[in-house]
Amino acid sequence: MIIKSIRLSNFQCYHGSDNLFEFSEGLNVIIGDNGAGKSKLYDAFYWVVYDKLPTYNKETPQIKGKFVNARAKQECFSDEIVKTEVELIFVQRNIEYQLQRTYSIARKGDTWVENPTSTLKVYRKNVLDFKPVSLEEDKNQIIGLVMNKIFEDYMWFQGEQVERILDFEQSNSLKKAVEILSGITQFDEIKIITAAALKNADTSLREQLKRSTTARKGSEELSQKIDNHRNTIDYEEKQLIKKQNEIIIAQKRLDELELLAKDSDKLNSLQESIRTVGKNLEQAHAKVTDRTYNLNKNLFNQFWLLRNAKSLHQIFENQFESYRKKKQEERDRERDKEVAAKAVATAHILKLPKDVPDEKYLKLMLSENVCYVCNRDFTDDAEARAHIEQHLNHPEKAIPSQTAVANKRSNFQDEFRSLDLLGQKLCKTPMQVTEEIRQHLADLRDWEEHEDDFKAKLTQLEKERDDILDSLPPSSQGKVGTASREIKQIYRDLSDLHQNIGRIKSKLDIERKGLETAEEDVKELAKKNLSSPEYEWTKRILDDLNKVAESTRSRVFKNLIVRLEKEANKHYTEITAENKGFRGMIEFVSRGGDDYVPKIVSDNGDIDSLALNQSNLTLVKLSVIMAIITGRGTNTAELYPLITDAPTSNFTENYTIGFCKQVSKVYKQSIVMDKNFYINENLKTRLLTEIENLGNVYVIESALTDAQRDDLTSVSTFIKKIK
Amino acid sequence: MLTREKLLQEYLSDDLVTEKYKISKAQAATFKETDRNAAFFVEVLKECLQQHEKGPSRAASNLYNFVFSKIKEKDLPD
Repeated sequence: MIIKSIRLSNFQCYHGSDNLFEFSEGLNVIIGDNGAGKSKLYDAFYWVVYDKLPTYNKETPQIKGKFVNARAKQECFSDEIVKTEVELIFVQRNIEYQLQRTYSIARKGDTWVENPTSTLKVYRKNVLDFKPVSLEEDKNQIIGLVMNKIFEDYMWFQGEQVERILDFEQSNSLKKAVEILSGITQFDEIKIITAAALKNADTSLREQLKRSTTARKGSEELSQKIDNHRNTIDYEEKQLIKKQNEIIIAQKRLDELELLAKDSDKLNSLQESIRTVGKNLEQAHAKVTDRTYNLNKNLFNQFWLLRNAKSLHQIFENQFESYRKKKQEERDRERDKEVAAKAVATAHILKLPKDVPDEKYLKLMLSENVCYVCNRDFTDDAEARAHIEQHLNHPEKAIPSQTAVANKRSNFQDEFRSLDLLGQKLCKTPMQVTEEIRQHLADLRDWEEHEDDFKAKLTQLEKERDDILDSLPPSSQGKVGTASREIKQIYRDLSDLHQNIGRIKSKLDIERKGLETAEEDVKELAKKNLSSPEYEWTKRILDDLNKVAESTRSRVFKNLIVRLEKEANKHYTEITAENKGFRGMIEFVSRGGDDYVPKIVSDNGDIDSLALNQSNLTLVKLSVIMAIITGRGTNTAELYPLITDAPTSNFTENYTIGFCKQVSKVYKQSIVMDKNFYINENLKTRLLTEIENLGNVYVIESALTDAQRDDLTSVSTFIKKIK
Repeated sequence: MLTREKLLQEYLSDDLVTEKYKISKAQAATFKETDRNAAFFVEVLKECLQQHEKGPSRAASNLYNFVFSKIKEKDLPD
């Protein structure tokens, strides 16, 4: 679609009906100083199509009576009417259309009778003449040819609107752009449908279980558990988004406040250093804790505690040897005694006491087939033998040998032996253990020193930062007292917010795992208690579908972000082609989920936050806006013209020319209103000579004389075509 | 804007689908259904897209009923 012309009659500062702008393909430029009527021309495009002024400007009165040119009203006699009219002619596929919006007010004496509505006439050109279109449906269709509401934000905008169109202070600012780019909302809808269907399946399964007599109790408990987990997850997810938004707002306020400092660059870099040193300090502290823990662990597990045990072991070994000898002597003595007792027993007929004798004498009697109590022999099958055996089989009745008990109780030979072996093993590598301990301690001391260094550095940096902050003027809001105090508070808030987010994320992890386990338990319960597995199957299928929907959406979204980044860089590179300063590349950095924000990065991937000053930020946003249109892969840039008012107001000369060149390449037709070319003659010359695809160029000026400048009823505009 | 066919292709070429339902990316691109599992999944997916086109109201419930009825007909995946 190509706009051929727009004619303004008594519309705001345009007096009379001779205010005609004609346009061709390529870049059309309206040059004018502040107050000359550029924005009013932009308003006229909007009004003829939408019957209202752009809504971004809340100060702009939507009262139609105010659209009427004050001078025309002044010239109107009683009982006459003043007509305000905007007429737009455009061509679509070789057919010309005309939109004509008219509004009129009537003068009755000193009062004005304002019409509540405007009228719109739509014409289609047949061969030579414009024929009116009467059907509302047809009219709407023709209006839709001028601009598709979906792309309006990115095709018709004013310079100050750029901030709002892509507001990176808000989370998910690029999400909307990506939706425009792709129609990815379709994936979102399927995700919603599958999630809801999955919930249906889940509810049905739980209902089934509740009806089962065997599983009722268990399923009710699990249902309660699942509901609790889901509620907590919902709540925590909302909290997470809330905290993330709070961080963005706090960071924005911080950026504003930091700009108040005379040395804001230094403040920024100090804060950056504080963050880095703070991270280093945390890391050093973690290392110290880790090394200390390992030291303690190794002291026991690796026997570092016994590192000087060689001499001790020598003492132990000597003592163990003497203990062993002593024990051996005891055993020898005991054996000698037994041998002597046996000799006495066999050599003499000894009548032992009537009490049950010692176990060893019982055994002796059995082996000799002699009872030493009554001193009689017996045979193997004699009653006497059975009697002795009975005593032997009831050890509680037998009186144990006193020496055997003593030997058993005080024999630690085995334990001492293993200690000795361990001692010998350790003594073999005392040097190696000592070296390990030495290295470990050296490492620990190194990290302790690092920790001290970082602490000192942090204190020094914080002092430097605080000195700068203390010199700040009072806060612009005046609420907190001084900007310095507010900044310090924000630093504390941000630290708290990051900690909160960490806590929320770990809680979410736990809850999600809990939910997963409870859902698994439901499946198990269903398996055991339900004869028909249909619900479980349904749930499984929908679960798969839900996962696929989620995964596909996420993959497609990431691909679109990559495409958008590539397109934005293409425009950014072209626009900045003639600028000699640091340029870098645009990179979309993830802030979590679908939330991306553009950063300028250098070749080695370093993010340059300082490169994003206001003018660079606008440049990046304009590049992204162009990318949204060109990245669609369809011919949106050919279907609709770009109409923009003062997009380059904070640009340098090279940026302005770069922008115009790129716009003239990207859009089949563009209409740009700009004051830079008015105040900078050289820039105007560059515009007229350097842009290849340049359309018509107009200069507009206020027709007021110096004496009339305070008189609204004299307002009118001169229009001069210079190309 | 994505057409229904493109949307279906996007889903079928997702790693989760190609791995789990044993469809190669090339097969996914031509919507070839290689086994019973894949065929069943594709059927469900098509139903899902159809429900999506009908609009969000009752779509989830319709989709659920569709899957449930298919399974009840003993058209169970292996």
